[in-house]
Amino acid sequence: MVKELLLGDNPFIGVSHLSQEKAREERNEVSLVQKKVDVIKASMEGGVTGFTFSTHELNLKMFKYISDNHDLLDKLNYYILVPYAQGYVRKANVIGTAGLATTVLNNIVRKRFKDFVAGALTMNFKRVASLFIVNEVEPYLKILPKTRVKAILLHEVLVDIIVAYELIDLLKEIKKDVESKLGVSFGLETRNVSHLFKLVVSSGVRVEYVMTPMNPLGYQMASSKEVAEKAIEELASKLESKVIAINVLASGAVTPIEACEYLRRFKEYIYAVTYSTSKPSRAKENALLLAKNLL
Amino acid sequence: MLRAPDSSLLKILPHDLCPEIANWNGYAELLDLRIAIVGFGKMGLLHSGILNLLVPRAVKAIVDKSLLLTFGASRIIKTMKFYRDIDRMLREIEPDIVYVTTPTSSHYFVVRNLLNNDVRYVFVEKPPTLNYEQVHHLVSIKKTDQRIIVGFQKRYALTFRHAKLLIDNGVIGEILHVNSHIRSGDILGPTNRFDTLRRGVLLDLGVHLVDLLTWFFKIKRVIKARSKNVYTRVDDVFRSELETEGNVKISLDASWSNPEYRIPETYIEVHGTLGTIKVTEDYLKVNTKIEHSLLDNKREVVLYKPHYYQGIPSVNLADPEYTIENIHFLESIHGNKQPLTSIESSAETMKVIDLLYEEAWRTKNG
Repeated sequence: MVKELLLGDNPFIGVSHLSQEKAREERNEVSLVQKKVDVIKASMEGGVTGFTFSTHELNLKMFKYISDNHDLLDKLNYYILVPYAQGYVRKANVIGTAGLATTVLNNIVRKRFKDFVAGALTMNFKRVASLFIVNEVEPYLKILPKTRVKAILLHEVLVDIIVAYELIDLLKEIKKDVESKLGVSFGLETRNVSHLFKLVVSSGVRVEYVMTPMNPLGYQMASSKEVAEKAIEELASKLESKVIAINVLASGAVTPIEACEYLRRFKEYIYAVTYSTSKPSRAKENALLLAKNLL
Repeated sequence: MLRAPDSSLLKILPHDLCPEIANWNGYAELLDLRIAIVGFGKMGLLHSGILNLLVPRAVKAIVDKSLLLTFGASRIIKTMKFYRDIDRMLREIEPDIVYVTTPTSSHYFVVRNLLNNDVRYVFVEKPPTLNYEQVHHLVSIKKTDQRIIVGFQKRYALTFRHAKLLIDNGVIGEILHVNSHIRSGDILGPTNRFDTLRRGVLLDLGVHLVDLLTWFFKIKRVIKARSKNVYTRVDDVFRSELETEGNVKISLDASWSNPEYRIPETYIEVHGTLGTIKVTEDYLKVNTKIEHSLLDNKREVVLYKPHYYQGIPSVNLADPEYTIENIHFLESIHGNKQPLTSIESSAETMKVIDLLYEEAWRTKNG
């Protein structure tokens, strides 16, 4: 059953899976932090109870602003996507991949010297990779109410590579660190849900949250719409993963009503539904519609 | 809210635009491939990820000069072997296919080595070489049964394929003029990474746009070209005007230092006697004075990515065109056909790149 409606951060950080043109328009609409707060507040009026976001520096700035100016942070649940991959892609463009790896390692050494030495001495590079994730998410955990952070989810860029290379030990290491070191539930975000399902089944790793696109067009649903739907059903029913549906409006190509009609078929398998917008009025309207049809 | 395309228009999508997808499922599982990747940067990681998701464990080996990368990755990734020496990898793995995803300056030398070592199928990331002369040499030493595909992945994006189909069928009439740009915010601070290359945004990013323009139209000459450096010692901004064999003028603008662009965007606006086509990786917008069967007898059509990629491709890692490109390459190997972006067809693109740099140099130096 759908338990939560979540607001996503894509327009807040200039991301649109429809077009860059739309991303630029939306980013300009919410260029002032207060505009983002207005969208969040409007969505909450419509029934949103959670916010899902990437570890983009603009989000950290927004949380600091909210903390200083509003009584809002402890009224939402948080689902954190880590890392913000595009930031690293840009860095790699400037300094190269080897340069990027060196920079990341230097950051880990600076902030977690003892852990790094332990990992390096035992040649445990999985440990070092896991420290990177912990480092990324830490500034957000310092500012958000601990009990409200429901899950830390690995971004699709990492998850889909983990699946492609069958990096089960790395997955276990990161999951262990997130759950034990940070004390937060662990999840995976993917655009290749049927491939992920196969890996999860074969490895026996239990993943509490799985975030993946679900929309009537099958946009970003791999390996195909039908196969992805089947994988989502089985993840929820057999493996007891909490499925968070994202991109439910196919980036704006379907109406909220069409999205609701489609998602209703999967109500028993979905834990939360995410949508995003840069407009307060739409934030409330969509939340009300989704709540009426799915909660 | 976007307008959903009419269902009858969807009949031409995606099979007419993407036959690769229709053919793929039939024999993907039958492929028994040994693939090696040379260069474990972001493109090496991307292609190997896609390949492994298309054909599980197809990638057998990775080669990279960096000790840090190969040693670190070998401790984490157990399904493939890591090497720092190409020749050793070739001896031990005997790959069917080698992907070259190293920095551009080494493409020519690595591909030449692979051809000399009788590797039959080579994928080389764009740009294939630094200049036309190097492409020409690779084509000349290539044996007839060897195939090289170049990673000009924009030709595998369905929006651009659709635009070409409409232009070729005269949907907007005779072409009058074309405006185009490719922009990114990749370089927003000083870097000396491109110093040794001595070529910048036009070669690295603009080559995609030049490749699309040479694919869409026949480029006859460069009318003017100007470059500017902002953060590097090479061209960060490149502006030019080209002319086609039909005397159509094309404006071309390339920049990798535009902070407005989170990720690269390629934009082509084609004006014809009957209408206009605007196309990017993300959308296709068509306006025309006459109703055309390819537009479902409409005069105006707007299609976005979600309309094109409905449940396809079967792997969704980065933009869909990367997966379609890889499927296309594997299918061309399977069917013993030249790929769409073969090195032979890329030669024209590199010729235009050279002409543009020569003209920019002339402008700068009188």
